[in-house]
Amino acid sequence: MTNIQPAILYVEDEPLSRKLMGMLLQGRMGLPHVVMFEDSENFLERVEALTPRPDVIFLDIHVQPYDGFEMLDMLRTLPWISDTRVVALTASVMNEEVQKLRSAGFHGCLAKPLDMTNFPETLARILSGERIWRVVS
Amino acid sequence: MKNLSLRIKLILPDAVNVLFTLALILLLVTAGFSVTRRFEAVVDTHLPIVTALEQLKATGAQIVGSGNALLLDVVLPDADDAEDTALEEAQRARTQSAYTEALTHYLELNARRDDTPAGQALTQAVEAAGEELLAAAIAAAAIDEGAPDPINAARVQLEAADSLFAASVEAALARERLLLIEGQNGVRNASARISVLAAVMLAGGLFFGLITRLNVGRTLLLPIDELKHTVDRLRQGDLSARSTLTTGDELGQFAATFNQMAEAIETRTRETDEARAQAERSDKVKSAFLASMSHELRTPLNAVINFTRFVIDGDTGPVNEQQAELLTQVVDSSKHLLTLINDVLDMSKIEAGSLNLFVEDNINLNVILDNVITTGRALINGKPVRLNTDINALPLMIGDQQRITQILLNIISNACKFTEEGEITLRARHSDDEVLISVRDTGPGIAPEDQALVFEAFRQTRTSLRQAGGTGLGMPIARSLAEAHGGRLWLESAPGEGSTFYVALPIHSKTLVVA
Repeated sequence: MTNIQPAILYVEDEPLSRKLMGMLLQGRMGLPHVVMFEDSENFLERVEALTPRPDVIFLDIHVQPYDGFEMLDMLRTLPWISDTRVVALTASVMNEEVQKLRSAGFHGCLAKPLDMTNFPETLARILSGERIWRVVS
Repeated sequence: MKNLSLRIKLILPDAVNVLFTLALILLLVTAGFSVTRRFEAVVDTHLPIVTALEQLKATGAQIVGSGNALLLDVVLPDADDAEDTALEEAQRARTQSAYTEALTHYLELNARRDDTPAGQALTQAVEAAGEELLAAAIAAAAIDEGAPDPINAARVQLEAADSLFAASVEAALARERLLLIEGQNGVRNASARISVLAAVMLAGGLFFGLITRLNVGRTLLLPIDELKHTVDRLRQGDLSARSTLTTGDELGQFAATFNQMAEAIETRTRETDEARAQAERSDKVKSAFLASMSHELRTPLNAVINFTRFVIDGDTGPVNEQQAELLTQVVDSSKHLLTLINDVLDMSKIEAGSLNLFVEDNINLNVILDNVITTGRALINGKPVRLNTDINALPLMIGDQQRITQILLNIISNACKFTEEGEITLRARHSDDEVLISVRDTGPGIAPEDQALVFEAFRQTRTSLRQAGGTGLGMPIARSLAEAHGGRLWLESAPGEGSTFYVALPIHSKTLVVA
């Protein structure tokens, strides 16, 4: 594991999912740099303002006003984005939807309901550069 | 003309041409005969008369000659004797007879033709002058020797009759010669007219022939060109292409039939397009609905399962054994519900025929099998079951990685679910064009009559019904997914002897196209 305490950004409009990730990332895993956005208003400016820069960005797809694909496109304009893994975290995991995520250029996709038990290992694999498409429960 | 049958349009000009040519031939033959007749008329009428007049003229001169000889004898009675005079008398009689014969012949010839009054007058003048000449000659012969006065009188009479006769004959001759020349001119003119007429008619015939040929071109080639152009347009996809041909002939009928066909094609194509668009619309609506339903069910399940897990795992404080057991059942039931949602969605997509594979090249089946084995070991979950593997290095293949994983997970989880003790053996082999994976278990086995049910949606065997859980959709979905890859999925089993599920997948399927 190259980064023991990675900085994480999670964009999610649904409060229960944010609460769940908070309990998991901050509570259970004790990560100090966890930021959550509940919408994508002024998305790029808010991301650029982050310190430290996120190592992993989890994006929900159905977010207002910019959806996950639009946020991904915005992130691509950032010069440092090549060091960051951008992973979809979504309940839209029908085959066609995952295909869209793949062709859009996401580094992976984690399905809801989240497999919490294996999450630390999965996160480590994501950080090591592996593309994870964990959509079959 | 426009509505005549093509056959008639083609035959009619030729028939007219043939008739025209026949008429031309007939006309030329008739004209030829007419000219010949005219020529013959000239030759038969005028030439004999001219000859007869010449003859008459000659015999007239002889008569005058012999008359003068007799008168000379009277004037100059010399040594000649009665014998000599008798000879001259005989000569005179012969001359007279020849003259009479010539005159009769001339009159006969004249009587044979239907002459004009002026002509008849000339003939009568010749006849009268002739008679006078004859009378003068006879009078000269009747004079005896030694009577000088009467000789002079007879001589004067003979000379007068001679000049009158000569004048009459010359007049008649002149007229006949004129008629002859006129006749010749008439024949010549008629010939010239016939030549001109023949030339004009031939030229007319050629012109008519040319016009009819051009008309055939117009009647046949132009419509055929138009039809070909229309057919080409339709062939190139211009469904509104119609022939504008409206003639009543076979080509017009063909054009009308073609237009009906084009109409039918256009209508059918439009209907097909509309039906396809409709189907695509409803397919899109259905897909959107399924996607939305999946999303809406997964979101609360995320909270249900994971918040419960937090409680079970003690993140929120200690839980007793009974609480933990009940909460674990909440998690398991929720996960079952999730499987059910996944399977029902998959099945409805399969039954709608809208299952799309995300096809990739170079799929590593060995990696997929490693994941499947890991899941299998977790599913055995402490049961006395050994999971054996016998896996060769497999070639990279084409397919939908996620769906192939799903197929194999369905098979392995089925085996783990139904095997209480013994072993599960996963084998993987490959030939040139196919990978064959088998999962053999030591479970209860499936009765022959139940084997077909395994692959039927929403049907479960009696054995599996006894076992809690399962949607009964896993195997039908797995088989559909295998078939969508161009592969096969089947089982071999007997009650009490366990089951073996086989899945065969093509390595280079030609029906799969890389996304």
